[in-house]
Amino acid sequence: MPTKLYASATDTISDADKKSLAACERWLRRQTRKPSGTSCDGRQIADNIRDESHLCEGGDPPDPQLLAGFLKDWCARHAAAKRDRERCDCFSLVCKTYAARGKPIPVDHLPPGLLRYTTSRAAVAQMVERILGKVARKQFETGAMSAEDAFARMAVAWDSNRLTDRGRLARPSDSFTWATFEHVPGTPRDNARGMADALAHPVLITLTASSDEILYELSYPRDAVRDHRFPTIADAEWFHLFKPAPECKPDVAKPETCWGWTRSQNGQPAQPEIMHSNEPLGVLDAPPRFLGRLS
Amino acid sequence: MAKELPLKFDANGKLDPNFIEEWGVNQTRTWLESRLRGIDRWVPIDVRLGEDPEALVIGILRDIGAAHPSFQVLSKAILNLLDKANREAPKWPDYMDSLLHICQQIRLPETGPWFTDEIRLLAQDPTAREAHWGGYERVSEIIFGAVVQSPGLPSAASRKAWQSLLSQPRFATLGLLGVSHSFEDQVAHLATWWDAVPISDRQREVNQIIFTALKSEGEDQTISMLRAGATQLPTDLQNAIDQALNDQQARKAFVRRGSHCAAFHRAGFTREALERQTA
Repeated sequence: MPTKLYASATDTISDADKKSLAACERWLRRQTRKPSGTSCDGRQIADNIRDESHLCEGGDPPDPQLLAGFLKDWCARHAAAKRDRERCDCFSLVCKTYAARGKPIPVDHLPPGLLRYTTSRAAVAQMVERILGKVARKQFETGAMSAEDAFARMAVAWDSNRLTDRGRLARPSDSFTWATFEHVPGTPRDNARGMADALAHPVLITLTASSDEILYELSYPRDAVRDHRFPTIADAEWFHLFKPAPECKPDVAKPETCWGWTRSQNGQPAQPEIMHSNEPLGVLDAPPRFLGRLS
Repeated sequence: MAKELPLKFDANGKLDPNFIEEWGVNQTRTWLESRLRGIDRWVPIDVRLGEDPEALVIGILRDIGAAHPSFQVLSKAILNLLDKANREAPKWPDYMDSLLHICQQIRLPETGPWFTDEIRLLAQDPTAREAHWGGYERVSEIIFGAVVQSPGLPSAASRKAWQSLLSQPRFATLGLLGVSHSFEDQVAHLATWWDAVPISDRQREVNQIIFTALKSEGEDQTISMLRAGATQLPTDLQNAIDQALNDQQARKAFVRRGSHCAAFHRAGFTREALERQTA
């Protein structure tokens, strides 16, 4: 059952666009993992689009124009694409265009400290270079220094003033990033696999035997970042395990309505999920915390 | 228009690396460029947890090893993208940071000459090379790649260029990484590096060199190698090394002039011999 926002958005588009949208959706639902095929679940992504209720600037009832724009833009690009690869790129491009445009979250709905969990070794290498030096970075990248040693040594030598603007909470090319915060008792914060499940992280080890994926936590003040928003299907792009926030009016008395929630796996508790501006690593208020290996 | 071949998975759900050989260099390059820019239709990138797009590629390269035909196809695709970036410089393509992260972690023989050229041009005229690529940060990312792809082994074409970088303050530490491939090598080049490297970086880098040496060589061997090279090392470098050893709860390597042991040391007694006699 589509959300009211989705229904309102499709009501605003022309009959021709509605026909195109149906074609887009049929194509997306075919993008499913097969023994010899792609590894995303297009059916779930298509369902998520129908479940979207926060790709809007606000309003009561929420204004459907932004979601309608997303759908129309997708249809137009999709129709112009001739090859499957181009159609995939179109979907990615439309998502990027409408990324970080979810409904704003009032700052006072959020706790003072935010957390970001990431697997990025590139970001660790940046921090290692700034905190421990170039020799350490090379040793970390080539495996001569373990991730455990790198995090332990950074914790001892930590000085966030040494970090430059080059290192950021997310990839430097991204203007926004995903975050969470401590909210749910029983969250396995010291267990990498458990936390990956709580965050709905599809562990890459199923794809290559040699992957050496780590998970670590970045901690920073809520007020050191800007533009807190609900995450949407545009932010999630091809990530089918994303779960659109439920369609209800935010109410501080009901925290489940104030931000997004992860589609947690294997019985772990779902975690709060928000977006905010991608800031330099200098905002960190503690050394990065190593949770462990995912492989 | 060539038909796109699909990516393959084996019965266990792991990627079947033969798909890369079947794709050939062109389709692999197209896929790689798109993935490293953050778009992959085959294996979506988890943007939420900041998955490094290159992590999958590194996993594949490690899985298959250098002898696999797919390894060579991937290496050639990487080389093509490096060439493309060089042609487009100083524009820094979206894929370039991730591409270099691969080169900084996995040895790809096909790319060796490309990095050797870069090191040679940089040693000749650092200012011109920085202008070509658009700044020091970008050049140092390339040199981090060169450390792995074109190491300055004694017989290597890149050796002279690495030695030249070792004497240039901003590149001295990268130069040290390029010319030395063991702790013994590092000790042999430490004095030159110490003279060139900015003072603010000295202790930090020495700390790491000593930390790794203690882990890989053990305390006795580390101290023995340091003492063997002691005559080349200036006093302030010896002090920095002893400080690093002390921080790691290891014993000091050097006997100070003016200390009670110095006269014995100059007379040819080793510290171990003195300690044995004292005991």
